[in-house]
Amino acid sequence: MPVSLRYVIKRIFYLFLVVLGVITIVFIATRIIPAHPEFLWAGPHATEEQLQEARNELRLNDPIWVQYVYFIENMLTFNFGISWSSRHPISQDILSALPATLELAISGFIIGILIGLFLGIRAAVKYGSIIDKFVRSLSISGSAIPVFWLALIFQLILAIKLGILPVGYRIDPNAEILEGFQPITGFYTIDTLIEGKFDLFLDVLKRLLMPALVVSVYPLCLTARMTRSLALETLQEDYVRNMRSWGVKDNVIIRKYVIKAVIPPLIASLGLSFGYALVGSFLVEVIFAWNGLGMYVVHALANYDFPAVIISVMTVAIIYSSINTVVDILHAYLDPRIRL
Amino acid sequence: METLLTVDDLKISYKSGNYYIKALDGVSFEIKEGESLAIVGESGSGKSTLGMAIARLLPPNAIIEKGRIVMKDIDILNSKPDSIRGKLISMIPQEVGTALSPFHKISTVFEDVMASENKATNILNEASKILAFLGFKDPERILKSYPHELSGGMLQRVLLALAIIKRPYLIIADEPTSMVDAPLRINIVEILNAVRKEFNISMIIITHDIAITPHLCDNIVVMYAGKIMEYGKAKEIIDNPLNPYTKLLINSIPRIKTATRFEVIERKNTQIQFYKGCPFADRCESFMKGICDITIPRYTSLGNRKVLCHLYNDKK
Ligand SMILES: Nc1ncnc2c1ncn2[C@@H]1O[C@H](COP(=O)(O)OP(=O)(O)OP(=O)(O)O)[C@@H](O)[C@H]1O
Ligand SMILES: [Mg+2]
Repeated sequence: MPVSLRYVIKRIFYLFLVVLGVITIVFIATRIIPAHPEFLWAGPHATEEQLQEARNELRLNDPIWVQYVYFIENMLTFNFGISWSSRHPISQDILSALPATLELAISGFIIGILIGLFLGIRAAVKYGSIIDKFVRSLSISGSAIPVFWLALIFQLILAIKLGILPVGYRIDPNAEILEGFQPITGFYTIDTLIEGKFDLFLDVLKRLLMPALVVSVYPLCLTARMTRSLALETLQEDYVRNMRSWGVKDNVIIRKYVIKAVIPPLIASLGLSFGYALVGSFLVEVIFAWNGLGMYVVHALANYDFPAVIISVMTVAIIYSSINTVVDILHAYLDPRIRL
Repeated sequence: METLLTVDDLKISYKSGNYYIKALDGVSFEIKEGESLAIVGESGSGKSTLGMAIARLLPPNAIIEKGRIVMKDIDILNSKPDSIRGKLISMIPQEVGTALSPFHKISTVFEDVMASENKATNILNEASKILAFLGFKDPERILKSYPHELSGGMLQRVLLALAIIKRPYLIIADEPTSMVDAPLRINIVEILNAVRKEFNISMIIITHDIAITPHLCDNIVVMYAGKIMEYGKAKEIIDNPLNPYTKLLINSIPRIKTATRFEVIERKNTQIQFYKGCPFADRCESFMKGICDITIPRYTSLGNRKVLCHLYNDKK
């Protein structure tokens, strides 16, 4: 076992600190902007009395630090409260929005790292060739393009000009009525398969493809860039030359040895790649009418729904930190020299 | 004894940016079957370049300008590298710590090295046998290990086993003694000799350390600035060096000095040398003004010795 219990406990403690930090920052940010959530809470024709009551209910009359302590207290007891705008329990809102975001982020992430890995290795093996130059310029320019702009370009070309992919919504909006589709896990690719609705599955896949491609661009560029430089480094290693000298074929060296040397340090960057994918998903959800956490936060912000915003951000922080911990543990399993 | 390897007038340069660095400048010698040869000389004299050329391992920026390498009627420089490496000629690397992939077990490397061989042989059995011959009490455990779990001396023997498992005719060891301490050094000399006897493999030993060569090698090639300065029987050269550079090597064992005299040659004229006369002229004790600095020396044969030096050019 390359991972000790002590390490796991330490990481859980770090996770706690990170989440506390994130909550605090977002909490302060939401309290210093000039906003009046009580107007929305009390409704459009509220009297001054009703407004006062709303302020009391939302605890807006308390000093900020009292509000903060109260909020943290609730978090610690897993009491996430109700949304100021939807008036549903926030945990329920988030649980129903999260699968959409994760499905998009994970798809984009997987597409990105697979293509990135492939391109990076090709570029390193053909160092200085046209492929190498292409990969190098792609990985630099690709990560400089804003995601939302990229999303619009993709829509323009793939949906409007070429008409090969549908745009908007995760599934045919009539599916629920016409085909009796009922989400179970919230991951529509899985749900349609569970329910055995294969044509719906294809529809879901088609709708997923374009936003996933947009989301994949950042992880792809990062992975391609890292893979290329790691593979170039590995190809210079003594042991690669030695294996050549003993007659091991180049394709075996690349398939087996170079890839295996590239993956552990690359794993360390997967956390960041997934972070890019997650943020990317947030940003494109609105553009693709994708009912995920990104949409939920935008909606919550527009309605001064502060608890919903804070808890959404907290959810993302927890996911991101956990992924990074998993990535570190994976790294230790793949590199026999590492002990955590 | 039959001739195993012939190197004939080999000239090699490295392309470096807009320049060509001359590494070998007309090198010729022969190795007979089962014989072992030491290549000695200071840093930068072209020893590794010579070894890599023979093993078909030159880096992409190396340019073979001239010359032939022939082993058992096979034109080494014009054959597919895959048909040479490991099968006819193998290498034992200089650096031990970085010589094997840290992510793979020793057994995996053996399997991949043997992948192109006859499928009927049990690779790991074969590997165990050779490891046992090289002095490992528990070869199975070695095969299951990762490189970082083995000591430097153990790794060196593992590398040797990898080099000889396909029974090549020739192995080339680049500085086999440079990385280890004195007791291990003697150990390695013994092991190399044992391997030579058991498998009838010829060896080229590249080294700074002229002192160990009589224990390991029949013949010595002394190199300076890409040229062979002296060639002959190891014992005879150590007892009675003829070339002033060989004398210097034996007496002082110079360290860290580099043969810099003709490192950089301009792009268009690869053949033009910066110096006139003998490459060693400026450091030579027996320097003769008007001769060594002007005319290029020729090889003189004295018995089975070949010397490149003006001292002997006229003595014929
Ligand atoms: N890949 C390369 N690119 C450019 N020049 C090189 C390269 N390898 C070697 N050289 C140059 O070629 C010359 C001969 O180098 P070589 O490595 O053969 O010497 P060496 O005798 O093995 O030295 P050392 O004892 O330090 O290993 C040197 O001047 C060196 O700088
Ligand atoms: Mg060398």
